[in-house]
This record gives sequence, C-alpha cells and structure tokens, in this order.
Amino acid sequence: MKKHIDGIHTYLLTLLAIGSLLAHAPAYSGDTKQFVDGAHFRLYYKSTTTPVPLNEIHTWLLHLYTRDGEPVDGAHFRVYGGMPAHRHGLPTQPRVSGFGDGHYWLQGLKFSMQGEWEVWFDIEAAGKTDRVMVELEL
Amino acid sequence: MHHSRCSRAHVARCLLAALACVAGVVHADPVTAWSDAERSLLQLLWIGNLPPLPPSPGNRHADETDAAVLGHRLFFDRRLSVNGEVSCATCHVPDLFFADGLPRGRGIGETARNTPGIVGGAYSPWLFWDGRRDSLWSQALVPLETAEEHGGNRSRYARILVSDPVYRSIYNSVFGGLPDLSDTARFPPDASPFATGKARDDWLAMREDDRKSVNRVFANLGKALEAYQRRLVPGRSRFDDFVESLLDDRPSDALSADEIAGLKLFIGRAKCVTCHLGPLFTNHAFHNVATPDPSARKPDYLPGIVYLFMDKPDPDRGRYDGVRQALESEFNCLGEYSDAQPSDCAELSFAATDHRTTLGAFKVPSLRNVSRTAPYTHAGVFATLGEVLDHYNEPPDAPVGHSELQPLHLDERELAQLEAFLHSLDSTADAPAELLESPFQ
Ligand code: HEC
Ligand code: HEC
Repeated sequence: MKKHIDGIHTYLLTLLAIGSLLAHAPAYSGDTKQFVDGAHFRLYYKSTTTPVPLNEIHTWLLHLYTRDGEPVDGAHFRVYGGMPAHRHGLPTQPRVSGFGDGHYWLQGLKFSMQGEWEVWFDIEAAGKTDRVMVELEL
Repeated sequence: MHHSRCSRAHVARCLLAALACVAGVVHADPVTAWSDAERSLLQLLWIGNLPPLPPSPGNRHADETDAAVLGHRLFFDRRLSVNGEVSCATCHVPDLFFADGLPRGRGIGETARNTPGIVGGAYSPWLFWDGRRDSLWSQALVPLETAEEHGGNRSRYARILVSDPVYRSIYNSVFGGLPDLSDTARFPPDASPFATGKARDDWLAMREDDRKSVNRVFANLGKALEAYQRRLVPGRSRFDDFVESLLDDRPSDALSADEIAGLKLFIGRAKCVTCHLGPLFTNHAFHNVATPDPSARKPDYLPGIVYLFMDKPDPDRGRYDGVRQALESEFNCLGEYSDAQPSDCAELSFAATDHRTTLGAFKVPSLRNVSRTAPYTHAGVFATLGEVLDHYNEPPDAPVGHSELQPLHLDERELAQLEAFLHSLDSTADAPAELLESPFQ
C-alpha cells in the first residue's frame, strides 16, 4: 500500500513540476544577467533590484555589444512596452544613458501589475538599427 | 511549488479530499481551500502589508505634529472660500469616508468630476482622477483656487494666515518667516494667476519677489493640509481579519460563504487584482476602463437624430491631460516651492505621456470602504456597486482611447457574491478620533 501511494505521489509531483515549469518559462526574475540578440547587436540586461519589483521605479544595467562581441558606445535607445494581454503600455517612460565601454543605465522602469510584460528596445548605433524585446513575468 | 501542501505526509489526506469532491461532498473548508498562488495574492491585499507612509520629499514638514494641527484647522475652515461657506470638509465629509455621496462635488458651484475619498491618499504618487498633481500639498492648492470649489485666491488665503493669531503663531513655529502683507499696494487683497478680471490683473502687476512670497505662504498652506491628511489611513476590515486567520492557518468566520466566493472571484476569474492589487486595493496607476462619459450622453428630451448631428462636448481625456498639467505646475516636485532633490522626483521625471498609455485613463481608486462612497468613478455615473459590476461584466467601448477590459461572463449569483465581498472592506479610518471631526466644534 505504501508503495502504491508513493507511486501516485511521484506522479502528482511530476505533473505539478511540469505545470509550474510551463507557467514560469519566460520569467525574467532579475536575479541573473541575461541577453537578447538582434540582427546586429546583443543586449545584456540586469535589474539592479532583485527580484524585479512590483510597482516600484527602478534601474537596469545594460551592456550593448556587436554580434562579434565589441562593446558599442553612443547608441540611441527608444524604450517602450507594456502588457499585451491587457492592452496597455508601460506606466512610465524609461530613459537610457551611456557611461562608456558599452555600458548604459536604463532608468525609470516600473511594472504596475502582475503578469507578463514586454519591454522593447529600438537601438540605433554605428549607422545600424535594431529591435529587441525582453519578456518578463511578475 | 503549487500545492506544496500535498507533501508526503499529506498525500492520503489530499487524496481523500479529492475523492470527497468527486463524490460531490461539498467540503469548502475556508482555511485549507486556498492555493499558494491565491494565498500570496491575499497577503498582498492584506492591510498588514501596508508599508509605513512613504516620505513626501517635497514637504519637509509633512510629518510634524504642529503642521498637522494647523492643517486640521485649515481643512475645516470655511473662511478659506470666496463666500465664507466652503471648506475642504464640505466635499470631503468625515462621516462619508471623506467623500460626499454626490455624483459631482458641490462647493461654490458643481465640480466636473466625482469627489473621491481621501483616506490613504498619502500612498498615492499622483493625486486627482487624472493625476494632475504629484503630491498632497500641491493638490490642496487646486480646489482653493477653483471657481466651483472654494473660489478664492492665494493672496486672500495668505492674508487669513497672517491675521488669525492662532494660524500666525503655528505657521511661524513650523515654517517661519510669515511675510508682512500690510502694504495693499504691493499685496492686493485678491490676486492670483488663475483668477479672472481684476484679481488676475492685480497679480500680474505685482513685483516678482512679492508674488513669490505669496506663493511660498500658499505652498505652505498646502503643506500643512498634507501633514493633516497623511494621518488619515484606513483601518482593519473584516477582510483583513479573515486573511490574518488564513495566513496563521486558523479558522475564521469573519467572512460569510458568499463573501468568500466573491473574494475568490475578485482574485481569480474576475481579474480585479490586475489593477486593484496592494493593501489599498489599487496599483496607483492609470487605466482605461471605458467609463461612460456623462457629458456625451444623449439627454432624454432630444430625439436621437438631432443629437447625432449636434456639437458634443469633448470627452474627458483623463490622464492624457492630467500628466501634462502635472509637468507644467509650478508647485510640482521639481518646482521652486518643493523641498525635494531632483533625484526624489522619479515619478514626475519618468511619467509616461504617450496617448496609448494615457488617453481616457483614470487613476485606479482604492476599494477600501467602497461600499460607503457611492456614486462611483471619476464621472460619478454609477449609483451602486451593482451597476459598476454590470459595467465590468459587459464593458462597452471606451468613449475615448482603448478600453483594457474584456467581458467577464459572470452570472447573477457571481455578481452578487462579488458585491457582497466588496462590503467586507468597510472599516473606520485608523486615526485619532479628534482628527475625524472639526476642531472648531
Ligand atoms: C467642491 C467640492 C470639493 C472641495 C471644496 C474640495 N474638494 Fe477635494 N476633491 C473634489 C473633487 C471633485 C475631486 C476630484 C477632482 C478631479 O480628480 O478632477 C477632489 C480630489 C481631491 C483629492 C485627490 C484624491 C486622490 O486620491 O486623488 C484630495 C487629496 C483632495 N481632493 C483634498 C482636498 C482638500 C485638502 C481640500 C481643501 C483645500 C479639498 N479637497 C476641497 C471635491 C472637492
Ligand atoms: C484595467 C484595470 C482595472 C480592472 C481590471 C478593474 N478595475 Fe475597477 N477601476 C479601475 C479604474 C481605472 C477605475 C476608475 C474608473 C473611472 O474613474 O473612470 C476603477 C473603479 C472601480 C470602482 C469604483 C470605485 C470608486 O470609488 O469610484 C469599483 C467599485 C471597482 N473599480 C471595482 C472593480 C472590480 C470588482 C473589478 C473586477 C471585476 C475591477 N474593478 C477591475 C481599474 C480597474
């Protein structure tokens, strides 16, 4: 009998594990540095507040590289986004400022609801334009 | 992580519970019938999770007792109006949870929008339905100079502070340096940039530094009013008692079965917590929920065809105009009457202005005590909570901008449960009793 329950137990746990994996797959929690690739650039991003806070203005650190790994300075960023499921945009207008060696601060980000968010970056540098998107779940 | 309560030792019990459900035995144990995800949402809504008051960087006197004493008197002082009959408490009535029970406020005239309650307002980074001010102190200056509300002007108010001995003494001990306004050639009795006619001309004719001295007194009047209003925070409701028991795994009869069912809908299928989240039941953001615009409603006496071809008033664009006014206000966080450093003004500096985010969006109101603050929304268009819920259940198109709502498909019984739950959020303000009544009685 004990064995039988153990079997069911394992089965239940497996189901639950799969369930939570599916539910949390795209989450960017802010704990680690991650990157997205565009056609020309690779953008690393890392929240300076972890986990990414709900309803609090905070800052991310960005690193911009060419696809060959050269840091890119002097890039111009346009940042926008929102919650596609709820048809609304970011509650703030974040801004990006560079400080050399491909490093930038992304200031003024705020996520005012739980759920899935998208942050889009239109990047213009060295005569090239690119667009990348970061998905996160709060 | 979900259902982690089904640990090894509990497997048999969980299986039994599942079997009981299959057998149709309704055993809705209110303590155990909540998932971890639901529990964490309840915790986010619980009043025990209300953080300490956020600082008010623009007002270095915001938490001084004397400033609050002054603000308390000013809040109830009807001399601060053009006819001596209107005070803040005319519309923000303590017994009505600091609202007024009317579709639109009534002072000297009728206001354009509904009067919100102000308890807990200190937690809001933006004030007014459209967030056209970024602090409680700068907010208070607006009704004082609005023709339909107090109808007076800053020069007159500064004079009242100077001439009333009680005010003069508290003012000087808190802010210091109340100016001498006795020279009426330099300081006309009625003057303001927002006045019309002579009072406006007189303002424009004043020397710039004299205008600044009056502005400083006026701003401090707002800062005292803020110090008072910061002391008005919501108290515990039955809902909070229920959550506290739940988090401690104790049984609770604080909520009825219908209220619990309504709460489940509120944090679940009805998706209310996408916006009404946090211990004040608001994310303090601006959203477009397609509230009908009363000014665009066809009057009953007009035939439809006539109305169709008539010039109609512009619909209320809400946050779209509000954010622009906040950015322009000389009394904002970055302005010269603010005590803040620019780095304290992130909300203002990073405010979104694009039309996609702001057009037709209004501030998400707190739902604490919502059963007592009818009628509802910025426009005061819904007389009852039932009407609000019918709106969410089958939302119309937005009068302006894009609605964020989708139909909920709740049935009558579920709507009644949701409404029952909203009544469990009643509480008295968590403030000393003397602050909840006029100091002049
Ligand atoms: C004639 C009625 C009336 C009077 C008098 C009045 N108010 Fe209001 N109050 C309103 C209305 C209406 C609104 C909403 C207006 C809007 O959003 O456009 C409001 C909004 C507010 C808010 C914003 C609440 C929030 O959460 O956004 C605060 C705070 C407030 N009033 C405080 C005061 C103070 C302080 C005074 C006195 C100096 C005052 N009011 C006088 C009607 C009034
Ligand atoms: C997309 C965000 C959003 C969602 C989802 C939402 N609300 Fe609201 N709620 C608002 C906004 C914004 C207002 C103010 C609307 C206005 O003034 O026009 C509001 C107003 C209200 C009011 C009126 C309060 C007052 O004091 O006037 C009630 C009651 C209410 N909501 C309850 C609910 C319930 C119950 C649900 C779930 C069925 C819900 N809301 C879902 C954003 C939302």
